[in-house]
Amino acid sequence: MQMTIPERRKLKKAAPIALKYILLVVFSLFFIFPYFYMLTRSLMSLPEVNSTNLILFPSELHFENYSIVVDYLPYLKNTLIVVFINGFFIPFTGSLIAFPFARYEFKGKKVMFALLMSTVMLPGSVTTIPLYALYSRLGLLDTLASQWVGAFFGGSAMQIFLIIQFMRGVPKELDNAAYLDGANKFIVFFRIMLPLCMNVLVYTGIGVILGKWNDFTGPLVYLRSQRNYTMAVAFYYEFSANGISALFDNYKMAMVTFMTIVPMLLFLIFQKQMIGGIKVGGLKG
Amino acid sequence: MEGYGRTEAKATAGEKLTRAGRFAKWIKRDYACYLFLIPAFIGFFVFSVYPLIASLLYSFTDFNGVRITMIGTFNYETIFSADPIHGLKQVGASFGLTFLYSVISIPMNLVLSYILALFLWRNLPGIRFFRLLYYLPVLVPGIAMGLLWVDVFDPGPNGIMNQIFSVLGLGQSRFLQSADTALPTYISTGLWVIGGGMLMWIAALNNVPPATIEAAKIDGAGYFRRLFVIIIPFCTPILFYNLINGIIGCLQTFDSYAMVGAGVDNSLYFIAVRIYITGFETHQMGLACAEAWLLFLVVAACTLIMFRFSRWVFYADDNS
Repeated sequence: MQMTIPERRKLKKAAPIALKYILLVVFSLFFIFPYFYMLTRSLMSLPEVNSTNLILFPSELHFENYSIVVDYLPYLKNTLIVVFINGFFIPFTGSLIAFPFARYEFKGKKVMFALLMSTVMLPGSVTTIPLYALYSRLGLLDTLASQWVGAFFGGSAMQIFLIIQFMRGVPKELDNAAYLDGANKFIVFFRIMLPLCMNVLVYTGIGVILGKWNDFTGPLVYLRSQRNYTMAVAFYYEFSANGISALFDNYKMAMVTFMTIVPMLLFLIFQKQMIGGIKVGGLKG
Repeated sequence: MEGYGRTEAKATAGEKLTRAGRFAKWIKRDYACYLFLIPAFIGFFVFSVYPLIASLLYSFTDFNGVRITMIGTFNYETIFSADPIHGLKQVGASFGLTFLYSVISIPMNLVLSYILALFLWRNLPGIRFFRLLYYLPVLVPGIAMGLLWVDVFDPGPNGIMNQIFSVLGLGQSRFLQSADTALPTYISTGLWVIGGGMLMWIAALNNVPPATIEAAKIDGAGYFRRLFVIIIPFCTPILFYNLINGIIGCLQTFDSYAMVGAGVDNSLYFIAVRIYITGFETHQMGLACAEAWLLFLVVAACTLIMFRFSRWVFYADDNS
C-alpha cells in the first residue's frame, strides 16, 4: 500500500492520539467500576448476588430492591436537618471569621491566625472523648444537636483559610468606596463582601453538606438511640459485617446507590463552583 | 491600614496619651474586628483548647465516661509496659502500621494522581468528560464505599474480585480477611479516589506560565527536562499542601473500622481505630486519651518537621 508523505505524517500524528483515547477508555473502566458494581448489584435478585459464578448484569431488573430506601426515610430526615444547619451556618460564620483576617490589621492578628491554623494539627481522636464528656454534661449526648452545634463557631480552619484567600482577591476599591460613603465594617461585610464571595461560600457549603451527608464517625460516637440515627450510621449498623442485613448485598447496594446520588447531583449542579474552589484551595494553599 | 498609620503618627508626634487613652483608641479602631471573631474565639476554646487540655487531664485518670476513681500516670505506664492488650508492643504496632500505611499510601496517591493529571491536562475533545468520570468515585460516601469494598473483596467464591481473578486464571485471595493481604487491599482501595488529587494537579498545571514552557522548548529542552525543571517546581506549593493534608489525614485513618473493625489478627488496627475501640467499646477513656495525646504529638511533630524543611517549595509570585 502506497501513502503520500502528508498522509503518512497525518497518521504519525493520529496514532498517539488514538492510543491516548484507548488508554482513557481503559482507565474509565477502572474508575467507573464502583458505580457499575453498585448499580448492577442493586438490581439483582438475592440468588444472583450470592452466586459463585461471575454475573455482571442482572437477568431481570429488580427495582423493588430500592424499597429499602423507605425504611431509611426517618434517618434521611435526621441527615437533612444536620446537613442543612451545617451547610448554611458553617460558610456564614466562616466568612465572618475570615473577613477581618483578609482585610484589616488589628492587634494580635498574627498570633490569632497562627492559633487558628494550628488547629488543623489537632486529631479528631483527641477531641472526641472530652467533647463526649462535655456533651453528656450539657445534655447534648444522643441528640441531633450534637451534630450541628459546631456550625455556629466557624467550621474547620482549612475552610476559613480558603475563604480568607478568596476574600483577599476581591478588589479593595469596592470597600474603600463604601467607606467614603460612610459605611462601617459590618455594612461592608454584608453588602459587599458576602455577595462577592458567593462562589467560595457555595463551594464551602457544598463541601460541608457532602461531609455531613457522608459523616459516620460523628453520629457513631455521639448518637445512641435508633430514632436519632443519621442515614450513614443507620446504614452502617444494618449492613456492616455484624449487621442484620449484611448478607443482603442487593439491598445494601440499593442503599449505596441512593446515598451516592445526592453528592453526585450536587457536584454536577455546582460543578463551576466546585472546580473553582478546588483551584483556589490548591493554588493558594 | 489608614487608621492604623494615623494613630501611630499622632503618637510619635509627641502627643501624650494616657494608658487609658491608648486603650480607648485601640478598642475604637479594632473592636469591629474582634466582634467578627467572636464565633472563632468561642469555637477555638470550646472545640480545640478545652478538648486538648481535658484529654491531657483525662489521660492521667481512669475516666470511663461516667466517673473518675483514680488519678496517676498509670495509663502511660500501661502503654510503656508489656501489657498484652495495651502494652508497648501493641500500641507500637498500631503506630507502626499507621506509619507503614502513610508511607506507602501518600506517595502512591500523589504520584499516580500527578501522572493522571499530566495525562488529562492537554485539551483533547471530550477530555472534560473523562476528568469528570475519573472524579466520580470520590463522591461516593466513605461508609458506602467501605461496605462496597467489603462486598467486592469478599474472601469467598461469591466475591466479584475473586471471580475476576479466577476468570483471569489467578489464584483466590482472602483480601481484607487475611493478615497478609489486608493492608495491601485496603491501600489499593485508595486508588479509586485519586481523581480528587488529579483535579487539584490539573489546576496547578494550568497555572504554570505557558510562555516559560515554550521558551524551554525553543531552547531544546526535552519533555522530561521540561517536566522536572519547570513544571514540577511550579507545582511544589500544591504538592506541599497535599503532603501536609495527606500526612494529617493518613495518620488518623479510620475508614477501615467500618469495613473490618481491627481486622484479622489486628492487621488493620490503625492508631485511630485503637483509640476508638479503647474509648468507646471497652470504655477505658482515660487510656484512650493517653493514646490520643501520643497521636497528637506525632501529628504535630510531623507537621512541624514538614514546615521546617519546606525550603524546596517554590513560590512563583510571593505576594501573600
